[in-house]
Amino acid sequence: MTDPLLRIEDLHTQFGTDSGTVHAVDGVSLTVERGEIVGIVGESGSGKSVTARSILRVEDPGRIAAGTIALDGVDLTDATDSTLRRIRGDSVSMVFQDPAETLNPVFSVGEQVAEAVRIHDTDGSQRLLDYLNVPLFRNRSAWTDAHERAVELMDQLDIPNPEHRSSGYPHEFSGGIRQRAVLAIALASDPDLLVADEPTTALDTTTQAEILDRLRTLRDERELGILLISHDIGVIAQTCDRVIVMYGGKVMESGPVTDVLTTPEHPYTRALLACSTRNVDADERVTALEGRPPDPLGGHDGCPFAERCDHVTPACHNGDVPTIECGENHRVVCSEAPLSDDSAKIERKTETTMSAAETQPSEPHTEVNREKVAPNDEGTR
Amino acid sequence: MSSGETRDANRERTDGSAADTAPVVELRDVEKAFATERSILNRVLRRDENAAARAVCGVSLTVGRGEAVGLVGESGCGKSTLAKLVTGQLEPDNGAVLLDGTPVGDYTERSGTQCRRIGVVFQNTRESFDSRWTIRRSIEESLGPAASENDVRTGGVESLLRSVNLDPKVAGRYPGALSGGQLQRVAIARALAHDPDVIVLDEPVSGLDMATQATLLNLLDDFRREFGVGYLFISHDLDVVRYLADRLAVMYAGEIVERGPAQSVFERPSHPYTEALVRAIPSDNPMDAPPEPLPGDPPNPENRPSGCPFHPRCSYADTRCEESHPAFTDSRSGASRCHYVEAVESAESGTETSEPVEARDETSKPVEIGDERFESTETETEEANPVDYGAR
Repeated sequence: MTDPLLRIEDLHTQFGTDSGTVHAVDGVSLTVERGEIVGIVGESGSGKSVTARSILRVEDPGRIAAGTIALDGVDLTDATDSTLRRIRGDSVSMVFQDPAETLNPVFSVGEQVAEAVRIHDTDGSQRLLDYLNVPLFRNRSAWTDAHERAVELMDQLDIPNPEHRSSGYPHEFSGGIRQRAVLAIALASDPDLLVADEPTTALDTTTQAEILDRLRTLRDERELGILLISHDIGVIAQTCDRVIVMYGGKVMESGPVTDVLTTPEHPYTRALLACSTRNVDADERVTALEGRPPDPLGGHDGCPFAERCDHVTPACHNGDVPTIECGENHRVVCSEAPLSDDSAKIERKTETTMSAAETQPSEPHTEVNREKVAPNDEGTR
Repeated sequence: MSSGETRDANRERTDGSAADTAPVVELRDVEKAFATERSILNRVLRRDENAAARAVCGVSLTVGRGEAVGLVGESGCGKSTLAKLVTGQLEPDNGAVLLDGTPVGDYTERSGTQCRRIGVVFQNTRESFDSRWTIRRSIEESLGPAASENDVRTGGVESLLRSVNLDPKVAGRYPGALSGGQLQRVAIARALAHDPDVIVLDEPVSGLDMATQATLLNLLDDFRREFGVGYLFISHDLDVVRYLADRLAVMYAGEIVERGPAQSVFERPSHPYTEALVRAIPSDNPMDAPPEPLPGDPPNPENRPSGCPFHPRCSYADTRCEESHPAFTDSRSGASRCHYVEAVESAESGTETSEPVEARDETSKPVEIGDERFESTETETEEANPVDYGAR
């Protein structure tokens, strides 16, 4: 078996604070293949972003305490600065949440895309010059070439009128176009892996649909491996091939989206799905997760979700939690899995299951969908 | 507060339904434009003298006690400007903002009592707090002289914090020490502190994760029932609005393009723009069809297209849409500002089977009742003022 594009094994990223060590990522393992979109979903503070940052080794001020991050077989955890500099942007690019903050407001968008093109086109000597702060575009032709390529990239990302737009400044663009410009910068070097940290959270739903569509096209056309981080289950469900559910710095459940989001086996995944307003009628209550996310100080013994879990047993609080295979590539880290189906949760929506089954007769997920629904819907409108 | 007794009576009467309450806030045909900066040359040549970004163009809207009105639309469509008109941070160029039927100016012209009737939860929560003030000080400022008269919240800051499920110890902390979800709760507590009748919530849950969103939405729902406050709930997330709001207004390019009971507008949109918004929502079910993007950009508010503002992006548009600006026509769930309401409706029901929301038809009965109420009041006011939004 060939190596996957990205393989993270037992990653531990920690932050030293005055009150102790914060175990932000606590033993995460995942792989991303070429031409595959892998999603990471979880609440804020679950360690999603720190995992992403660790890949590009921009985890500072945190530090990787243990584990390996192998990109095409090269371990990044002990890579030198110069290796990292070559890898960042060249083989791995990152897109952040807010395009307005990613782009520099005082340079035109075209200039910023061209800069990315130029940096990655140049050889080692230019890197040295760059290091010595010699201006990037020393001559006109270098700029023109890079600019042409930038316009081409912007055109590929469907930025309307790229020739004209390239001289525009970020504030003149709408959120969607800005994020597409950021994608153009990220793709300037034709990377193998794109790490997208909440790329659509700051965007409108209509624009979000466009960016997600773009990510799927990139996967198909360029064989790009994408690690997509989001707290929005809908975004993950509609874009990713596989999903990793994180909580308290650990992987709770992982597998193909079609399995994990339709037949979730981990109590946390179920709770998370129940929180979605999309699964609830206006006259019901959204199920809110009781309690708080675990304190990341000092790490956990046992399952981090034990405090808030409905299926908790004394065994959950300490020791290692077993990983159970629930299907092909579908793994659940829970000592109680596979869960017996909670009849209370399914019963809620029997009547709609019927009508849903009528409209989508061949799809097995309709049944499962109902599990997402809140069991406590008293006090409704 | 002088009207304390009547308001208590109101509170009992509301009981979660907004059927018989007079609107607290009413917007009548409000318009707001922002002058754009003209170059010296243009000023000398007296060119573009009327250049202005028209943010809100003739919007009418009411919010009553215990009623949640949702306002959705893309960024830049004028939602936040509308919110600022309600709170008095801006004054309309045309039209009027009415509080209990009395026209009011901006917040400097409103009396203390009038100001306290409207609470605000601002869009950028963290920025809306003074980072050098403790949470207690921020909330106390909002409590103001009304604190002593407050029946439910006599406990002051501590009980307010408890009501939003926060540890009262939070009062001594600074905003920087709280998470986004916690701070959002504090913002809601602060908005409740002066006992408002209507709270304007500008994107209160966007940027928060699913679990935090769920708890906040439940909290807001509880307050509505408990204290009878009304909400003007602004969001670009249709799902969230559908969940919380009774009535929904869809805004595009400074205008309301569709309105009606939230659930039915969401399930059976009658305006192509609402339809596009609904289609763009990514379903949680990976088997469902992927969300459909809406091509094109919203119009430039300085240079609005002729006729229907949505026509350049609309798949139903023809020359009629380019030429004439449609007025509100009755639709199956409310009113829609489109020449081709029937076409949209029939197209929608044709493809509807693939929509997951359709399956919820049977469960939306309570809204159906509201529906009738809504439509009956609609038809009465329709002739008097075609742009009027749910005025009673």
